Amino acid sequence: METLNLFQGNAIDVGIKTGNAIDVGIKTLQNFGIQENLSSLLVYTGAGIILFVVAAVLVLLLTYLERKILADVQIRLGPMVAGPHGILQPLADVMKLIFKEDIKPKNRDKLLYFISPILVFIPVLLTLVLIPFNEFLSFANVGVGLLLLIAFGSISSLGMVIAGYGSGNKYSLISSMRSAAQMMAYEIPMLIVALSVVVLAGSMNMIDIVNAQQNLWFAIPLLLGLFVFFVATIAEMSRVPFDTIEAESELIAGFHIEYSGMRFAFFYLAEYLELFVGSALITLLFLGGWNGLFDIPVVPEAISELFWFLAKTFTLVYIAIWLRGTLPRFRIDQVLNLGWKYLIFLALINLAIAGIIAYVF
Amino acid sequence: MIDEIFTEIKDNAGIKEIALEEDGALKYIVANDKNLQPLVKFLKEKGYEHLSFVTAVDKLNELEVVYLLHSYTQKNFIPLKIKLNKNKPKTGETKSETEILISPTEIIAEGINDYGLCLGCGLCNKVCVNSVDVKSVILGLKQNKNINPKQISNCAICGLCQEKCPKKIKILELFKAINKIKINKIKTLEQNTETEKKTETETEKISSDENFAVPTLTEIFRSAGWHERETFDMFGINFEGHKNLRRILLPAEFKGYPLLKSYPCNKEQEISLSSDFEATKDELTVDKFIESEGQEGRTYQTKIMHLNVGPHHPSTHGVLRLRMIIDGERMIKIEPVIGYLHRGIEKVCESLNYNQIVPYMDRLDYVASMLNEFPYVLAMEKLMNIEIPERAQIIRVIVAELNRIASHIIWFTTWCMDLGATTPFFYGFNDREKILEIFEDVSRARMMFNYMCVGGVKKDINESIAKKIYKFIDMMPAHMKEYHNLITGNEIFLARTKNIGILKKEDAINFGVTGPMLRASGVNYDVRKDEPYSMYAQFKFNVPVFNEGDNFSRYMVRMNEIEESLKIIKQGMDMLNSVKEGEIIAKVPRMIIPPKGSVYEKIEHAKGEMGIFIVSDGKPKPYRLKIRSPSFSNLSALPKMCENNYVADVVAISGTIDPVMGCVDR
Repeated sequence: METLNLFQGNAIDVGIKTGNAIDVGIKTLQNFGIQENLSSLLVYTGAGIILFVVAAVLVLLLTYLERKILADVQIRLGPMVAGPHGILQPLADVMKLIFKEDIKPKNRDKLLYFISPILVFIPVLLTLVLIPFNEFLSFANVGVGLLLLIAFGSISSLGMVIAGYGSGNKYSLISSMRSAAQMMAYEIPMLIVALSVVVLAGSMNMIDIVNAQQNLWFAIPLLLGLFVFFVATIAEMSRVPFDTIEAESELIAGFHIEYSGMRFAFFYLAEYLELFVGSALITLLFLGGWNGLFDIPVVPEAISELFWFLAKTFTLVYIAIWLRGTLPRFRIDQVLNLGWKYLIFLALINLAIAGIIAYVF
Repeated sequence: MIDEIFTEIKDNAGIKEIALEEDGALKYIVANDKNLQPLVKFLKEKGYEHLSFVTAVDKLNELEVVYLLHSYTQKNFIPLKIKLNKNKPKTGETKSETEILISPTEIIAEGINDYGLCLGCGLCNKVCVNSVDVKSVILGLKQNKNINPKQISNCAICGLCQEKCPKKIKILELFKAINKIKINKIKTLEQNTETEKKTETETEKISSDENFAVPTLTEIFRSAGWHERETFDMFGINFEGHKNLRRILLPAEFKGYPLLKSYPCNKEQEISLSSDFEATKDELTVDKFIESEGQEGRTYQTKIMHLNVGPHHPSTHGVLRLRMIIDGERMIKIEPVIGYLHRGIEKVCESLNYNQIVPYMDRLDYVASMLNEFPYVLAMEKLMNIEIPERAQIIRVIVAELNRIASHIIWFTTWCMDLGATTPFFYGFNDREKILEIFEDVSRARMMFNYMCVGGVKKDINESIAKKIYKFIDMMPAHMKEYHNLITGNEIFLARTKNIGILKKEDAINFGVTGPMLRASGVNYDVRKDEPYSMYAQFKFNVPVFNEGDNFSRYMVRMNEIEESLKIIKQGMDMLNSVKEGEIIAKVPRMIIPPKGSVYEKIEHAKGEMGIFIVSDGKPKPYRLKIRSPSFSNLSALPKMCENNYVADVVAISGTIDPVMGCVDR
């Protein structure tokens, strides 16, 4: 029974900590005289819809940002036609993807081809559930949040393997094999570094981890860890310079080469949500989450916290896009060498540093 | 030069049955199929270790196979020739050589009858630039004699003689009339012969029954592999001992040999891409590979896979197709398949006037069109012995070097895309845009310039264009620094390029690789420096040479070449100031009719050594025009460079070859 205490609630029964938006919502509904069960159902459904909208808006924003920032790096303007400064471009893309013909390859494995976009997208959406935007705006406050986050993150690579195999295309097959190898190589250093954060924070709960950084961000004692985690995250997201999975010069589009229309849109959504979740995770683990550098006057605390969280996250997003504009791509064997030979080693050193710090202070 | 070698072969090599034959600007050594291999081996020992190209000329009653051997040490080349007798001599040929005579009545019918007042002073003869015998032409007409237009075939119609004539005879109009009548006569003659040929060939089968055989040179030169395949493809010559003699540019089930004069051009053949795939499906399969190579020598006993890349693929730079056998991520066998952009330019040129050919040259290597025009106009000028004004020569060098920079910029930006870096592409294209603006001002075109012509160039570089060029060469060094900062120092870039795709010096020479790739493998040879053409002897520049032969050295050679080209342009622009403005074209007749003979001229193209081999029969259209394309030979070395590399590196290596399929397939 001891072990069960690690979960301060299961997936449905969350929000044990006080001050959560969902608790507030349930309590308000109860005050209107609605039954407890019904009010929870209503609030969770509402939260789910809001989450989906947030995810969609985030993806639209991120695609726009990626285009504009990349264009800026490359001395061009980027999208300028749809709306002022092209702000409607993401919407136009969505329209295009919705109305596009769904072309299916002849050689596909029907079941695998069908489920893989779902298998890629749903886990990423689940990781978004686990990300607290601040202490008030957290959808699911789970005791082992960090573990779940990383666990869900690795399910999507299963989806990629299935997509590559199910498409019946040699390029996508190579890509899916690469993705499996790359995920394995980078999950391990990522977990070890996450462990070092847990050692310092003494908890796997995301809010606890952030609160433990009120005085000192973990980035300062665990600078090495931050570096390893950042590299591993970029590799997990398979972005430049680790985009061997989608290497357009060899594999054209990688595992989703045979997908079009809305099926492709799911991969697209997952890719950009991963970018946000990855950056948010680094912010929460190393950059103090919503702890601000200084107090912003007048503005209520909840909003200033949200501002700090988003500012840090989008800075990381900017760096990721900047890297994409600057670096060439590693070869797959070099990617794996880096993961297995160097990052795991550095991650272990980082764990030792964390252990020493935890022991001494 | 060639006489000495000829006597040396006769004395030392013990090969007796050879002869010398002079044909226009070239002097051939004529061998036969028995002594070809020992002869070539002897020449290779003498330093002629680069087989530039193999081709053939269909001379109606005999088929001539032409080899061009080149020496990097002695800096000259030897054309070899083998004559294959055809069994059935064609008729038709005697008729085509009938002399055209023009009678005075025809000229009077054209409306020119002022020649009656000629004094016969001979002044006009003295002023004529092409030393046409103007006086005897006019006197002959006066005495009612037929004239032979060959007498005036070199007339530039410049009008100089008319200016000097004390009686102001309309000599210019006279020559124009004669020319006009002559062209009409030739046209009708050709139409007659063509209709005769048609009736002849339609009775024949499309595929020729004749089987010509020559010994192969593949054991001596690896570069002969593809060149002999091309000659087989176009002429049906069977190279005995060639292990892989199949069609290379044309689809597998194509019937007939199109460069033979007997090929019926008006007959259509229907060949679809899918039927071509079907026909070539079994050429490299996994089963066949295992059959020939076995399962040994591979580290992991995983299942090997056949992977087809292209002809439509983002990183094959056009319509190159690569068949690969891969073992996981490792490439174990690769075979380039070309010909998807074959437009038959060599055949088309045979039906064009010499002036009409220049635009076709633009379409070979479409990122370096100025450089394509260069060897053609040089060859024509050599064939016709035309002196070019100095200003035109300087302008040619300037635009050629500008285009070299543009070509190298395109290369390195797209190559960075192959390596996964997208940003250099946009930086590079900004710089290239500046060059294109200059070209737009100079030739009114951005891609297919049609700027050089036989005798000079079409437009002068005026002050505003000169300003733009100066601005460009002032701006470029800073940008080069930026590229080096962005790319050359990048650790990932170095990891992807150093020690990858190594081509050793001996292999590079044996494969006929030329240009930056050759210099990256340690051979210090640049046509501009070692066999200077045009004005290059007067320019000071360095030839960058690297010894490693890997991707990185090929990159560095090209980057350094950009800087050297900038130097040349700067010198050229300074030279332009000292030359009189406006003199940009020599006096060349509108209708170019070169004398009989053959010529080969080559230049240092951005991709390598590009040459044009022309055989003229004294008519306004070339008899045979062979394009020695640099990318063709360079691409044939791809399998060698890709040995034991990863799939991702194959893309990077094929990028460093800088193949432009328009130039490879022609």
